[in-house]
Amino acid sequence: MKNAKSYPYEKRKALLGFTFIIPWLIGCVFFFLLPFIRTLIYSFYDIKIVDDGLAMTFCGLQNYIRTFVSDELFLPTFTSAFYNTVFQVPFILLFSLFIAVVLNQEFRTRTFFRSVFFLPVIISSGVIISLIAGDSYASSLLSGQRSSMMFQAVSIQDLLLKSGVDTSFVNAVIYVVNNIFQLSWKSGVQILVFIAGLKTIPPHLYEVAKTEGANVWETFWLITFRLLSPIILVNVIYTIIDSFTDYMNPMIVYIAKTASNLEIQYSASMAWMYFLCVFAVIAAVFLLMTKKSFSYSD
Amino acid sequence: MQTYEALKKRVTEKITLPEVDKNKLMRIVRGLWSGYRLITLFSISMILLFPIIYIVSMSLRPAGQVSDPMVIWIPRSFTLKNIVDTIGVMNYLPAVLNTLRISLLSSVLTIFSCSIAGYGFARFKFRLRQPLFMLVLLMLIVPPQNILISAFLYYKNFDFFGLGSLVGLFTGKALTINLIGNEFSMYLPALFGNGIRAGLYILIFNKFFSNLPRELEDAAYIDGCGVYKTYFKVMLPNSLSALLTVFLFSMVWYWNDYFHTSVFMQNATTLSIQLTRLKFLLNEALNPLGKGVFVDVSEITVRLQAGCLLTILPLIVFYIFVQRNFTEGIERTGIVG
Repeated sequence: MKNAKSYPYEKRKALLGFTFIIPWLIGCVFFFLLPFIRTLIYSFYDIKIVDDGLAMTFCGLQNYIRTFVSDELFLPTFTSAFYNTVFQVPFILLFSLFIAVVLNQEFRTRTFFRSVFFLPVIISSGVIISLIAGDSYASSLLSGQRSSMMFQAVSIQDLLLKSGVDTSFVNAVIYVVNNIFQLSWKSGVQILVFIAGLKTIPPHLYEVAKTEGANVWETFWLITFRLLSPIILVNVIYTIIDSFTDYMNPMIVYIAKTASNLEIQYSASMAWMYFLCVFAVIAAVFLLMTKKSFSYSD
Repeated sequence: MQTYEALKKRVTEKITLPEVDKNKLMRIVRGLWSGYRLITLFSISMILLFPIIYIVSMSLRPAGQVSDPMVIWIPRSFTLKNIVDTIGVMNYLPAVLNTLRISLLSSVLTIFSCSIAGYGFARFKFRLRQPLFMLVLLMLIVPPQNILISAFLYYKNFDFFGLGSLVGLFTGKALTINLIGNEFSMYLPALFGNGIRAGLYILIFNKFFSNLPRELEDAAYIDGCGVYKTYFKVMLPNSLSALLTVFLFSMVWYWNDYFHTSVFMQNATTLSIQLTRLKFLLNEALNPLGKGVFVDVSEITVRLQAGCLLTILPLIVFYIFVQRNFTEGIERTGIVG
């Protein structure tokens, strides 16, 4: 007790604060970090499954060499995983921010629409989605709807190209149009996180803005957007990760497939290559965005 | 002369625009906006509702009407036969109870452990905070498939967080138990903040708590509360909206989870495991071995969709029930007002 008293207040508080994360830390080390490191070790070994566990012989970088040199499936799968993400993230964010701001307004049917927009999260089960996707009746209905749509992707493409819009921009638009189902389907979590974030903005700020004569547009950018920036950071990172670690992501499918073929060492080395690249992307985004996001403690 | 005078008068006269009623204009703009809002929301809702409508429509129609060109959404006649059949085939009631128990317990443990960790990261400047927080992000980035095999082996020889191995140093034999096939392989990680998508929840709580004004805690500290009392008496009641959000997410993800349950709790009767088996089970039930009965694909399809409906129905009921508390919770729990 005497010892604790002689401790400076801030230091003692920090020490007590550390106890808050101890349960998580224990779990993280044993359920996550150690298995993760063990996977790294596996990737340098040649592993055979024997009766009482694994027979491992060291083989250096053999598995990594196989990834890049002799596996012709790896690189195309790898690049398509990144390509998907680059297209998806901006659209999902803009879409979910728009929907969240709209759903945060007061209007009569709001409760209904809110529950609809959160539905994708509830049916996010990979099992159900794969059952529907594998159902030939469902896909014929979906494609039937698509071909009878008023704005077909082809005609939009023609229109934009003829009016002299840049090709890469047109491609992005076409991607969004063609994948509107998957993209809006993936925005449920982000919408909800945004709505929860909008609720944390103190209403008196809006009153001040109104009395100072700011219009809706200015209010949005100066108050909503600025105060929402920590939440935007969460959502950006979540969307990137969700896209990279999605069960349907070609790379994840490939990694899981090799693992279930019991090529543990090869699956491990691919997983590590993939992880390092994803990590680089996310670290870059995180560092860029934390500097710009807003916090009360600033 | 007169015309000149008239012209001069007209030119020098002040041009006045007709008086615009500003309120009226605002009302028109508002009306247009709400019309636009309604149309946009409605059309996107239709895209989102497609699978639900499909599941409901398929599972309520007789198998004969699956490829009927006259029927797209609304069948000509309704039947509950598919659903009744599927309840029997997929062993529905035990599956629901199992899934409910696992997801409820794991979610409660998850919000408890993750909110504590999120708060710790948000408010205390202890040493190693930055590197440990990077560890949270790492948990998010690494897909569970990456660590599948080594995690499986750890669960199989669970040594009580190294304590078992420590005992092993003295007794010569490490004290381990097998968690595979046991529900504790879901609860233990949840209790220690490593359940499904725990990294995400810690991040949400962290952001949430760092956005709460510091004055709240300072007031509690001045009133003589300790760190823990401040958390449980002041911060936790103020974070109900975040707790509910995370609970809902966690509940849903545990409910829908197939990956973890199928790997760590093999042969368990949970809804998603039963659903993946359903096609096989249906084939077996409709076409008993050796009978050689021809089973039409549509017979399977309607029952599969009935299985989907049965799986998401409890979640949707739960959601309709929570939705009200949920939005109210979010709105009531502002720190201001």
